[in-house]
Amino acid sequence: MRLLVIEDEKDLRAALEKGLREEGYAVDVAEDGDEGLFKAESWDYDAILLDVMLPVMDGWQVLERLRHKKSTPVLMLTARDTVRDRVRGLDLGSDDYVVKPFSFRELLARIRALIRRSAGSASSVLELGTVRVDTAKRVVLQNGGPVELTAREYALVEMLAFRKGKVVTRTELYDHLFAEEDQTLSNLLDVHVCNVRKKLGKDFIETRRGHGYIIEGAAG
Amino acid sequence: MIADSIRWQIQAWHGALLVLITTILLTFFWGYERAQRLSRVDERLQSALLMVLPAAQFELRQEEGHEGARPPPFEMGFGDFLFDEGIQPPHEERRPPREPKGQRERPEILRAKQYLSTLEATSIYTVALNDRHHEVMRTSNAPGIVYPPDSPGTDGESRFRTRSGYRELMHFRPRKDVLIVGTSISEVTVALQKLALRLLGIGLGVVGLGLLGGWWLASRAIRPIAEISATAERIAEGDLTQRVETHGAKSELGRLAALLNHTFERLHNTFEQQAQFTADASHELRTPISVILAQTELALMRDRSAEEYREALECCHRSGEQMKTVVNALLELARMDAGDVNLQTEDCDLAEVVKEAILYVEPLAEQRQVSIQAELEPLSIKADKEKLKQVLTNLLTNAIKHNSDGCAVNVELLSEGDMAVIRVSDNGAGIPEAILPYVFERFVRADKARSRSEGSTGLGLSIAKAIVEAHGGSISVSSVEGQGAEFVVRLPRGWKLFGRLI
Repeated sequence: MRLLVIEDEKDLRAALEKGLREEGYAVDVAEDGDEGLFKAESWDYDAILLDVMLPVMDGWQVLERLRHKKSTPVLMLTARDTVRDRVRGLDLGSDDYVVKPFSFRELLARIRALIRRSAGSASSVLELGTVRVDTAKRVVLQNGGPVELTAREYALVEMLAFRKGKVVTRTELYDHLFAEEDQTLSNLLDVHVCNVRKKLGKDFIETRRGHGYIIEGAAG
Repeated sequence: MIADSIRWQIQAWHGALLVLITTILLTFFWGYERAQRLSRVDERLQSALLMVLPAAQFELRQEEGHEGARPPPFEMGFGDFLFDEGIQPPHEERRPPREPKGQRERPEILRAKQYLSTLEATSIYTVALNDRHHEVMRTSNAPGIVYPPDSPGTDGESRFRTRSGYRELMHFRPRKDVLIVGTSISEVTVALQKLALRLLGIGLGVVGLGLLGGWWLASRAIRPIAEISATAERIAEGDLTQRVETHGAKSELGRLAALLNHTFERLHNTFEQQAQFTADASHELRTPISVILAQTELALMRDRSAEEYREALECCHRSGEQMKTVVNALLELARMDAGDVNLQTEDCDLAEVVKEAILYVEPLAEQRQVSIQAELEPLSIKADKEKLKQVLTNLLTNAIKHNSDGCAVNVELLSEGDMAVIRVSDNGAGIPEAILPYVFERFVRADKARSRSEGSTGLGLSIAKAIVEAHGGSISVSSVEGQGAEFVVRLPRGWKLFGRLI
């Protein structure tokens, strides 16, 4: 899953970036509204963390303009806590409104909820035959037993699991598993797919030649 | 409570005044009427007296002359009694007066005696008393008892008196004789009593109606006051958006209502400003707090390297410093708001102060590649040196920060009349028109979020303004966006005493 953090406060931005990366997300950052809007319009992020008090263009404007083009889940992150501001934020099109200072763990949970909802999945646990993906705990179980996956491997599984039964193109996978600064080796994806197949079974992820990958999830 | 009510007070005074005026007027009227009636009576008595006088004189002289030869007249007593043939008893047939034996009566005496007999048919009576207060003559319609005068009178004097229902005119003759002409005034008295009752009735009616009318008028006048009170009460309970009705702002109450509304408006705005300030202040502090919490939470989420911990701690430290700056600035502003400015004034060489400030910001200027020019006139005033330095540093820092490379900041110090003037101008980015009127307000920044991480609080100019104004001076700004800005600080050079600078 790929996230965009638009926050001008340097130390806070750094903390968010680091913390989210450690959770296994691919993270892009922006320092001001202009840069943030540009990136948000260019990529399909799984969620955007948007501060309100931004230089050049404030968060309200970014949100408003973004909504003309994309329906990316947006979580507003701001020190402005009046009811008026909250209502405004939510009515302008954000999906959640978190007031600073916040608890990091709570923030993570809200991000997970946003992604879950936008994937159309009500539950945080996805059953794929013998494999169970617990998106809240970020663990994968097979036949009841936990399976060790790296952050990237988990991210790959989670993404395909959320789109169970649908083909996901390689490009999409790249766009959602790697951040701006990560896009280096083009066969990194294949390596991860290979590793997952080793751990969860050859047929867990099916290849559709010329299209992409898919998890059917029916059999095991 | 009743005593406190304006309405009741007005009523009481109004009523008292009404009663007083009505009483005085009606009493005067009644008194006048009484005087009028009595004077009419008195006139009749006067003319009767003139008519009767000759007869009385004759009788008195007669009595005098026949003293001893006549039987002494009756003592005062009840009932009718006759004196010689001159007077006829009323129930007997009137006979023309006969000449007394041996004496011819003069014509006026005859006339008088005739008049006397006609008098008896009227209510006017007459009695003559001699010096021993014996009755010498009386008409039959005189009251049973006729009192002699209380005090003697001089010859020729006439005196009126009112005695138990009779009005009498007493005419004094020589040798203490007195002629009394009187009449019953019971009719007059009764008429006056009736008049008095009627007047009383009228008076009560007037007072009653007046009180009712007054009550109604007072109520009408007081009602707006009650309305205003009610509105003010609602406002006091917390709803500062309420306003008083001003039905036509020209009357006294209308002006009061308008004034109250104006006051409430200002109160409301002040509270709004306070609320806004609190929101802004907490916002300013929330950001560094968020950083600290995020960094520490993150650092504690898993085992970290020493380097990571150090970075986290450095972030926290920076944020702590930021909070300290904001809190200190807020406290300073709060103190100044409360009037506790605490200026340590001393003789201050302004040129020196400016130079020190420039020196202080030099590293920043160098970093930004901004040059600072100064034209300083030697000028000494009484001021708080440290605080002025703070002001100048703030202005210079702003100028440097809002400038791009290669720009210049200019500082001028000169005297204009009795003011010391400091100008700090730059040719950098300038201040956007939208916020130009608000730059001296708290938490207003040229660019909402810029340079927060560089330690800017948005309070510098507010504090600068407060310091300058505490010195009795003023600060102003002019700017064209894109062309730079100029801040002008004016400080009084000294205090004026009788128009001279000291």
